[in-house]
Amino acid sequence: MTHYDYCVVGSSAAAAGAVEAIRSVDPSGRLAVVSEERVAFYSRPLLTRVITAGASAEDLAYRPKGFLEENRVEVRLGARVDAVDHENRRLLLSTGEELSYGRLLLATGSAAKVPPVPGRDLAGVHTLASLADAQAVAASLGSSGGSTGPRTRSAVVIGGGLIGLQGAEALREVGLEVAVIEGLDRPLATVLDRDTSTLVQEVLAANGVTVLTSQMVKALRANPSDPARVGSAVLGDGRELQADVVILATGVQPRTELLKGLGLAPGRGFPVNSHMATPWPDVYAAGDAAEVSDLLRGGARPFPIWPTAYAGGRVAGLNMAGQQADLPGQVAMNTFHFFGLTVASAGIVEPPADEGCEVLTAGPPPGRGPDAHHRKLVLKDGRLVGFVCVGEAIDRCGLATGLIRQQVRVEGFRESLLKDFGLAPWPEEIRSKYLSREGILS
Amino acid sequence: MKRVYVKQEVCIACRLCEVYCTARHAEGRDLIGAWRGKGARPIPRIRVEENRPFSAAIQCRHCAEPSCVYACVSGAMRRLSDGTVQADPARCVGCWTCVLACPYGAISRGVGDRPTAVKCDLCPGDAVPACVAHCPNGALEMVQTAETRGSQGGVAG
Repeated sequence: MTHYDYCVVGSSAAAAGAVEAIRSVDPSGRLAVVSEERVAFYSRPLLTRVITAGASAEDLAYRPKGFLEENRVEVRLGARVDAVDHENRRLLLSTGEELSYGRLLLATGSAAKVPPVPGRDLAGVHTLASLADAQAVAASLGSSGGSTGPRTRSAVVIGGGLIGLQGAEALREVGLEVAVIEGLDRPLATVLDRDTSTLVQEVLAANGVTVLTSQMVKALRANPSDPARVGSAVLGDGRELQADVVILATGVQPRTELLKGLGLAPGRGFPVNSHMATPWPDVYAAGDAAEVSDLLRGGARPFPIWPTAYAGGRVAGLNMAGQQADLPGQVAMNTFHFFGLTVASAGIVEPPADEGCEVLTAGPPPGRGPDAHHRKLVLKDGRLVGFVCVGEAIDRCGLATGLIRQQVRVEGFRESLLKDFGLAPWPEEIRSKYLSREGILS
Repeated sequence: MKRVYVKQEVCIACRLCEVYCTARHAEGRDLIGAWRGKGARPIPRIRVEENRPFSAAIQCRHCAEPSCVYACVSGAMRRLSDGTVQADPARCVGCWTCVLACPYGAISRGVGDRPTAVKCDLCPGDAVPACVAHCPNGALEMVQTAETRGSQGGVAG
């Protein structure tokens, strides 16, 4: 049995943050990364490039060649961790190997939810959460129908969240007819306000991607000329849409199966403190699988976004290597692009009516296509708690993210933020802090 | 580790820092080439903010805890062993997560067919960055600070 001072399970953003943090403190401790994937440290948010541009694993590399060697990381790829024996500090791998660890990081990420729709096991039905998934979709586009059947012409995407819409855009870009089936009454409901999600829906429609809202898929049916493959999707209202390829994108859930003994409720992530330590000694967790504190709403929940994964992994790594570091309360943030429309959002973007938030908006109303620019600010108790920017209005929006994170009172200059995020109109006291040598970050 | 700081009390908003930053990052590294040459004119990586009587030039602070590096989804944004934070245009995909993450608003969206993130690079290879060298009023100063950690080091916050 091989002993490692540090074992990291997973090989995405949180794992990279941990590896880099550990090595900034401890250049020599033995460090292993165990991943069930065949490729480590690739950029998951760029997966659709495999479909649109035939991107290879190297094209998606998140860190330069030599990253593993330079950081003296010993990797176990294609190896799933089957069990964590936290009492004896051991990992049992699917390859039969056993490892012992000094400190362990569970950066197991999240898994795509598979809706219980009949026909989900047919060929041509995919999730889109990993490099292997994206490669399977790309292969599916080439293989559907074989030499005698109809070529791939139509796709159905189940779920109108970020992954679903990105998948839909990619499939449209390679020439397919694409319909997105969303159960709620608008796409991107968890990350965008209603106005902007309507704008996204319009831009998608103008580019040949139909989003059917308040709709469900009852069943996936086989292609009559190739019965092992999917051929159509039957909607809740009885309509049948041709579907030579189907992407299941109904959300993700934290992968916490390795610590079943904690009795976590389904959908919940690993509980961690501000050091990213779980209740089990020397076991840390970060990334989509961990529940971190929510700056704006209080409490803890998974923040399945890349920046939080990296930052959490980094804090875990520093603590694992013996430093003291704390992850601050997190704020959701996303940027996305659909057919030339650029959107950036952070924090609370569609506040419930009873929360006492105030909404300020500027720019032409949504509905003007990809050239639209638009800014929406959400304030509560004199502080900025969220914003959405479209098009050119995203410039310097990080200043607004900073105001949210630092919970700055913005009463005196809130109107200026609608026009330009620049700090010139801000009160001298705040401005000077930004310009000082100490700056605003620790 | 180089840092550039602004003395707002002596900034006169002449914007020569922007002009010389643009020139320094143009193909021929000169003013005439930048403005009258064939290529696209580079975006200045420093920006003068003005609200009379206040003015100050803002640029990347090369943070020890760089939010942009942590947020970057492609790995284009890195903190190098010399303590500078650099955007690699070859790896940048123009997703603008760094624009959303930078609390100083110091990262710009580039232009062109494949726009990439544009930020202060502290003029690699030059003893003094162009903005500092050409500020007529000493409003920008370069400071050497001790590097406390290696690449991607620092205490998270």
